[in-house]
Amino acid sequence: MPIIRDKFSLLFKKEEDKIKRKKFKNFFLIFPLELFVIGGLIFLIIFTIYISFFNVRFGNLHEANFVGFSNYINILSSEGFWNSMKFSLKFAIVVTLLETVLGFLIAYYIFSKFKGNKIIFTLLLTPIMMAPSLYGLMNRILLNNFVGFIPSYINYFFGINIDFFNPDIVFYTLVLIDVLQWTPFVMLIAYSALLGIPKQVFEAARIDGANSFKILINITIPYISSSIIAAAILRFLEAFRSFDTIYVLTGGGPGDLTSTVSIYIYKVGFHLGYQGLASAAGLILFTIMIVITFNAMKLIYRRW
Amino acid sequence: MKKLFILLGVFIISILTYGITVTMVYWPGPEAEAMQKVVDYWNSTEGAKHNIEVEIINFSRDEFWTKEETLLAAHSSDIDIVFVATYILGRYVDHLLPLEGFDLKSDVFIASSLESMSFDGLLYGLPMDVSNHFLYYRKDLLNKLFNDKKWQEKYEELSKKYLGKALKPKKPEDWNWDDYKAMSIFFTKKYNSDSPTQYGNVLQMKNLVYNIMIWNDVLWSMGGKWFDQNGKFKINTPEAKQAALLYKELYDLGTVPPGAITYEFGEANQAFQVGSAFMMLQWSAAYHILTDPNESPKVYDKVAVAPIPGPNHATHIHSLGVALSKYSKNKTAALEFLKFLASENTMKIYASNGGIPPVEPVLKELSSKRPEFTFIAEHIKNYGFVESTSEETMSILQILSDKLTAIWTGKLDVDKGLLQVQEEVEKLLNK
Repeated sequence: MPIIRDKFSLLFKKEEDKIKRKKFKNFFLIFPLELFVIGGLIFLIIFTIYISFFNVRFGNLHEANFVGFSNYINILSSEGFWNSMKFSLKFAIVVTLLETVLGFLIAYYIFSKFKGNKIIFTLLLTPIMMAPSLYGLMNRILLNNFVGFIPSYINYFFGINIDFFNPDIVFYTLVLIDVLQWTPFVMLIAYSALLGIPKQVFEAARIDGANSFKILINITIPYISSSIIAAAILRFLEAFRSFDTIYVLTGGGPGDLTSTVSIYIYKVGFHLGYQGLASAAGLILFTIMIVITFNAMKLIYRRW
Repeated sequence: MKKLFILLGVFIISILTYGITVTMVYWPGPEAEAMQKVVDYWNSTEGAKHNIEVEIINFSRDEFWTKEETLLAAHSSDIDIVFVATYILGRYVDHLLPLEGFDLKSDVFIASSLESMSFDGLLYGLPMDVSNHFLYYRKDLLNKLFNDKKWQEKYEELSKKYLGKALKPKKPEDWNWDDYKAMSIFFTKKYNSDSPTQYGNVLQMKNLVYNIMIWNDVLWSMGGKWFDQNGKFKINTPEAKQAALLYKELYDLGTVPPGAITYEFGEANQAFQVGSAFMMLQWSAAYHILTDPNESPKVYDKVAVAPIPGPNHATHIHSLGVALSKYSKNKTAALEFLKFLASENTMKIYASNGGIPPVEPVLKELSSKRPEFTFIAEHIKNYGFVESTSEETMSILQILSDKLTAIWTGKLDVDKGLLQVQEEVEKLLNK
């Protein structure tokens, strides 16, 4: 018996050593990339923190003076900053709600009727393959009231003269454009989550007499809720700091009516040249995003 | 073996010294197209002789200065020749080498254009294009107004109703801003169902610094300025209020397309090209596009230009040009190319291909092919102004843009808005 126990111990130890060597090899292989990414990120964060305590303008770090927390105080007392935060929050909440609901509904529909259909799925994903600034430019032409075909077809079929960039409705135009581009992202996540639900669960529910609606409410949605929440959080974070599409379409205007916090920071840093101030604003935004992400991850893990 | 090493060494040296590539940044559009022709000519002639090849890199026009400034702030040696403008020169000057002392015959350029490329008395850039604004209008429709009694009666009726005084149509050269408003109303379908155009005018109201350069024409024409006699920034003045309210009034009246809050150069041109607008304040570079039968088939033969209206005609002017980067590793080669540019012959090639160089003999010689050259020369000479060449010019324009676009659309009160501009610019200038 001791011989058999020894033999098993030897085998077990050999396996352990093999696993340790594999882990070491894996670590060694990805270490340079990790060092590059994390190192770069840490360097950027530290440098940004450093700059935020100086009145840096136009990249002239050597001429800048230490100003302590002045930049942070200026940003937090700036009307423009809070206006842009309000707009970002409103925009992010609206588009996240719409995209989450629509994304799930479309994913569920495809899952029910066209499961496995690669062509339909790929076509639906096309908007997210486009660069946001290019997408914004495209919409600038499509929605132009003189040369854009959308206003002219609306006028032709319905007799309505609609100006999509009128200040009273420009917010909804921007929401529509964002929803059209990013709903497929939520759809992709929801669809993947739906594919992960075991078939047996549905079969068991049907055997027990559950109809489609009850299966949807009591099985499907709870099963994929973590994925949906994760998708919603990702979309919220992205929409909150939206830049490209809105900047190309409206420049954040008129005034700061459609200025997101990213556009505000960009203008402060690059147009006005206050890099110290922009760094402070960027760090405030970063802190807010970290807090939201941390709490969101807690929520996801709890549900998981 | 020894021979092989010698051959290898010669081969390596010849590769290293074969030719120098000078990189020049430009922005896409008629200017870059014209410069490409000059560069092609240089590369096949002088450049081939000197073994110096010039390559143009086009950054997109959107956020062009930000991209270029980022490279300069990083002390990048990737660019040898930098694209500059009057309004950005002050900001770039620490990254540029003055062109004084080099054998450049810069006197081929108009003196004022050289001043617009100078800072603290030193020349930093060669001016390649000069930009100003015109009032573009439909001469066919204006002629009809002058000859049609019913139209004239309607014009008087509308001006009395909306402006409080019965006005008679005048030549655009004699317009003040009331005449401009009256024309805008008359040629807007909302007020005049017989108007052949949907809108009387197009304004570029997007939150963009270049649109404020156009608005500055209105301010200057009303007797306003950025700085008072003592050199102090002063914007909350009656003239600035009047100029701001003009745009607001035209927008509120509906004489401009509601989407004008997102309009810049391209959109304004489109509105005019499709025949939907009677007139607009627009850059001189648009003339070439609006009078081209292929680009503007509906209006190419119906376009005319006039000075910006007002008690005093005024047009913003700036030069676009090229300067030498301090960080260039090919300074000698780049200077050879700059010397080549500073010649009448080269500027003639540039002008023949779409550029607008401030070289008087060239402008006069080509005026038969490019009729706008005559107007440009005349307007710059008689009505031109430069707001400022300080390093804060772009920042001031951005602050004005943020507040004025809000004022024009009624999101900010005009007095409060101008006061905010005053405070923010004072804070900026005191730093």
